[in-house]
Amino acid sequence: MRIRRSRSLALVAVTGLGAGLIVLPPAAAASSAGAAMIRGGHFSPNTPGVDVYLTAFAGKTTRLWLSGVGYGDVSGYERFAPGLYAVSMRPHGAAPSTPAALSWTLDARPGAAYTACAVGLNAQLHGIVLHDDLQPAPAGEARVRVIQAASRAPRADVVATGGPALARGVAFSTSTNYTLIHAGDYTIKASAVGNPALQATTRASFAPDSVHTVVVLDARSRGITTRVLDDATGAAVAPVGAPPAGAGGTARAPDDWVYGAVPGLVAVLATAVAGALVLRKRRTT
Amino acid sequence: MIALVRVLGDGGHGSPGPKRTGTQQSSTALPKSTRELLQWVRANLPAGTRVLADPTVGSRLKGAGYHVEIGMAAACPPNSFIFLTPALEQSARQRRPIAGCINHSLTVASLGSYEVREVTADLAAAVRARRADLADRERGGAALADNPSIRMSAPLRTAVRDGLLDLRAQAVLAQLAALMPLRLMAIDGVPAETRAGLPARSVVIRVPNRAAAERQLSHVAAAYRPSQVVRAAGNTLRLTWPFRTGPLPVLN
Repeated sequence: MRIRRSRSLALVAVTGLGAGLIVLPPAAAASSAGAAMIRGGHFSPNTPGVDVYLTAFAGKTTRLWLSGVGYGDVSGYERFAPGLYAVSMRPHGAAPSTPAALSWTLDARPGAAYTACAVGLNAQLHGIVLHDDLQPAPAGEARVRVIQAASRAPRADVVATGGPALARGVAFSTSTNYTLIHAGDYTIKASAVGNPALQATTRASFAPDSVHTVVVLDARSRGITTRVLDDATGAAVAPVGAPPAGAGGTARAPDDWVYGAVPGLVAVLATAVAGALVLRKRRTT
Repeated sequence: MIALVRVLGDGGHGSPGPKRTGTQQSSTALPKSTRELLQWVRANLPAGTRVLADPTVGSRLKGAGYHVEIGMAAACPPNSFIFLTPALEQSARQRRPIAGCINHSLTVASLGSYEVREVTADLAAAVRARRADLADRERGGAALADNPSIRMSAPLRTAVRDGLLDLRAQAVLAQLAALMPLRLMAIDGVPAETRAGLPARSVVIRVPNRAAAERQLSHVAAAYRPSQVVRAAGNTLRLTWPFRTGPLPVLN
């Protein structure tokens, strides 16, 4: 009888812990092996900042990140539970009552990586989601793709001097597939199709087995510029981001996980401690 | 003998069909299946859509306000449609180009042996895309059925789990549910589309704040936006999405 009651208390504690985990966000609940990796990218040239939201079809998982991330920036990858998400976004700083624009559905698969990008001019701000191939490139090579986010160049060519063409006539707001390139140092040159005066160059170093994204952007005042993002090097995936920056317009402050998880965990811990104390007391009597 | 019809009326997505003219022929002379499919075409295929049809159906469409071109039977570019009737099937036996058009198409609305089919650029790819769409709907439906902010009856939950609800509707309901709890009251499909294996694209929901829900719906990208949002009593809304021919922005 004593043993049975003790087991019951232990079961309560374990069940409570399980219940507590349910309220955690996907990023926290997902194991690193089975999780999907998702990051956000802000490629809308005349939008000061963009907030991107992922809403799981299963609910209670609306997340906010990219707050304050500027044009041309990407967030670190975050782990999410696999599953379907509605991807929406809106300019950063919009009133909390302003709905975020639903623009995409992502079926996040275990182990896969994605970049949710805000692209297009502010008036036509929309989202695209890209699949990121973070598998190491073949030995001695790097994998490179291009995101064309320069509104001043309706179409652009991107070449690695002494290497292959990375993009031919890639349209604004679109991306290319990955191109394999011998590891090494290159000058990356981007130019507007039909307007060779509109061009930009940058130096890039592609390590063996690495994965990169070249982003073509509008320069601050005029012209275009390029930026090279390091997506993965060897087996290491580039940086996993910080926790979400806070609640936004689509977050339900009173009952969302951000606010519900802490009291839930406190309750779970209290239950577990109480169970342990009772067990200890039983053993000593 | 075969009419290629270009629809020029205002029978766009979800909107009423073009104005009927006084010269139209009586629809009552047609089989019920043909009449119903003609209504489907007028309600769902936007102006400018090309439709391959037999002369009788073609003339009906013309009489209903559509522009009919005759003599281009072999031309069935991708994204055009075929109004398949026994008469057209008979012609296909004699004219290989017509048979080729039919063989490169998928059914989008069906009433017995009468069908509306969409011509595809790559039939195998289109079949794969349709299977992938069903798989997405099943995965999304299973998640949506577990969404604690969406209440629904057991039969509706089963239907959602089985992927019978259009993915656009699923995504919009998921996002609405992130803002407010809602109750899914009904899922309505177009019978001819359901027979063709397409999902239901109309739902009735009850929300606590109809104005906020409508505000959110107005911020949905065009690919996901309902074509009709109709208010009903008791804070309920009927949402209807347009007939969809192109792929959704979904990344797997």
